[in-house]
Amino acid sequence: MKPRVLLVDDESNVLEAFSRVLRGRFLVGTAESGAQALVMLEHQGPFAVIVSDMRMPGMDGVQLLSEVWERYPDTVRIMLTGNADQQTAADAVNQGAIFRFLTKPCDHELLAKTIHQAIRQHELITAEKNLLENTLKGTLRMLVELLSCLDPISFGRAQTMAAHAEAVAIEMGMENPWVLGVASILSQIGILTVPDSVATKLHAGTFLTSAERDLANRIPEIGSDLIRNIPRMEEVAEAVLYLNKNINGTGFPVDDLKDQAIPVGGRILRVVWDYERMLPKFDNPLSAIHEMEARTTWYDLEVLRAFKRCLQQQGAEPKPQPAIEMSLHQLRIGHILLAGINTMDGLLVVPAGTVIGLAHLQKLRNFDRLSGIRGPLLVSGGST
Amino acid sequence: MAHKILLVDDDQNILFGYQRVLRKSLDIEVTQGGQEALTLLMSQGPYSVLVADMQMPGVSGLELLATAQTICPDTIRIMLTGNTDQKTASDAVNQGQVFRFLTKPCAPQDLELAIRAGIRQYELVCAERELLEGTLTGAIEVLAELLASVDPTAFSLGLTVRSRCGEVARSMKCRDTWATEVGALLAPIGRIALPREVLSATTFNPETQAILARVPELGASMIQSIPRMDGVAEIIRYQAKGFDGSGVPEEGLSGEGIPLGARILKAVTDYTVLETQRHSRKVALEELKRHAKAYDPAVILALDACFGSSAGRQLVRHLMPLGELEPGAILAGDLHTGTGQLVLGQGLRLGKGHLELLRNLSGFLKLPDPISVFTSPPSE
Repeated sequence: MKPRVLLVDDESNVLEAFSRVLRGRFLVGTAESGAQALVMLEHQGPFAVIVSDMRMPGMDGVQLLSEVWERYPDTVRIMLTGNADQQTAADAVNQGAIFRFLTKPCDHELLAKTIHQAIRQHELITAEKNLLENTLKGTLRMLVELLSCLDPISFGRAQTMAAHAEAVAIEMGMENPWVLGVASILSQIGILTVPDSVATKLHAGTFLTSAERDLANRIPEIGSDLIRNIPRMEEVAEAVLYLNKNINGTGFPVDDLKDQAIPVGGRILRVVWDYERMLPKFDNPLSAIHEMEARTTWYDLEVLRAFKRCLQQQGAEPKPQPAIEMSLHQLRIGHILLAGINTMDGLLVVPAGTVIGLAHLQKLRNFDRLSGIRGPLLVSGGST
Repeated sequence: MAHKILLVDDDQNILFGYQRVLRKSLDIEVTQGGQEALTLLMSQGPYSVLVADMQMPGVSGLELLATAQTICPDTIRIMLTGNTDQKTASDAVNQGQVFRFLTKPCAPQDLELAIRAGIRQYELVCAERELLEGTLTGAIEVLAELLASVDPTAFSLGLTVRSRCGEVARSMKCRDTWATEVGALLAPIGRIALPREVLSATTFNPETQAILARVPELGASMIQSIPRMDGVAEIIRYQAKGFDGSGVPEEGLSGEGIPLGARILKAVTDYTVLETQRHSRKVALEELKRHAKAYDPAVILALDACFGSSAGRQLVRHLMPLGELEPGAILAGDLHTGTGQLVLGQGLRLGKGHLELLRNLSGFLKLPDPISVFTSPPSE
């Protein structure tokens, strides 16, 4: 995605010349006065960078950029000045109101280079939010989507769980909701370290030997250990560790913690994970919650209530959405499969219940080229 | 964290004046010349902020700041100037060499304000680095490690290739070292969306070959829409592209039009695969040079410099009991279960996740014990 830049100058021919040069590299917006710039920032923001002329009728450049500094501190500010205003501009740099100033007439290459530096500065300022919430989560989501091609049951649930867990975290006023999103996505990675036979039995709900049962119970703990040493992921690791811990202290891991002493992330995952597992057996989300409310020794009631509010706010969408038949070409990201998709020779490629992602689409296209996909597909609308 | 500040001026009175006022609130060191400042930067760092006077005999302020930019790029640079230098100073700001400039005479309060802004900037740079290199890379590494148990053929060499790419990229002063390393970890992800029979196909078949040739593009398309990952996506897209324009994807790019990270990744991957097959770095490097046109000569030079000096060294093979394996050991051969199923691939550098997998499997399946491994050479 190209970064967005707002150019402000009262001379429309200057604006035109600049935006012609810059258009290929950035997404450029233009405003002919300070007032118009503020309107654009409010309605079309956020912009990564604003470039303003110093001398303008009405609000001048210093006034505009100070205002912008106040209201949109993440937008990086550049000023264009005539020679006479250099001292003003230098002062403004040193006081932090602007990032750079350029002297008019300004070479187009220098302007472009300065905007690049400003965009870099914008990246630095927004790094924390952006890297954690978008880059980290986006990358992990993609990887888990790939894993869901291999183990659709575990990782498919992990995908749908993430949105719920984050909504609950926001509802409960937690400071870093991304922690719950990432913890959900990573909650099942431990399963990649257990033998296939154990994973298969676990999904089928068939009888596990006691050795297998022990191992299955440790899956969250194994996953938690793998991510524990990553900086800033401590809270994520804690949440994953307590996925199977009941509010009364039973469950796993076996330790002395109970009630509020169990990390809140773990208490949230516990609720959301069980909900995902139980949902297929119920015809509506709230009856699943109702069933869970009866298990008073398992769940944190406060979390359960917050989750219920989230589901109600989402309008408690009617669970059975209309089924649509479609061809592979019509299948889109976000569609939910109501029946598994098979190749012509009967091999299951993607099972029922999968929320289609980019990796699934790629996989299906590849199988289609190779041995043909059996149509039509039975799909429900999904969220997008 | 305590932030160290270095203040450089040839006028001792000015130095002591500033130091007296500022040392109550800042951890400030002073030195009288550019040369001494460089020595301090190299031996006593890291400094958060460097403040330098512009006009000094010997190493001038501009030279000092320019050198500081290469030896400690994260240190935030502030310049003190006489009035006459204002044009030079504002040029230096615009070219990104200095963060702020202050005009002499400069009140200590103004200097302190600028230094505080510099410290904030330094914290931003460090925080970003920690997030990228620590959190994000760490998380990707864990998943890439686990993928080695899912698709041993493709992911086994990932960790080794990653650390080597990092070494080569740093030695070439590549600006995208981080993207190159992450690209190395994620290079084969396009394979996961492929049918198993394509991946395990042993005979030549034009249909499967055509699909395999699209692996780099598939991988790139999966991550290119993630914010800040576009650079990584490009490296993955061109990981198999030859310097002479051979290889995939089949479009016009060649030579330096291919991202440097991708040129490094291609050379290092081929080198590492060859080394694993031939058990010799020297032979591997010779083979790369035999197909010189496919590689960027500058990358081959850097690769040679990083790993060539130890090129003759053969890795030593050990037999290790399963229970004593430690992270970092490299598998000397493919690891199969008693029934012949491939668990982990030759050349894999074992991580915590793999050891966990082996421990868990050994409770249920027959695994070879002891296992034949190479311990990684000290240079890595």
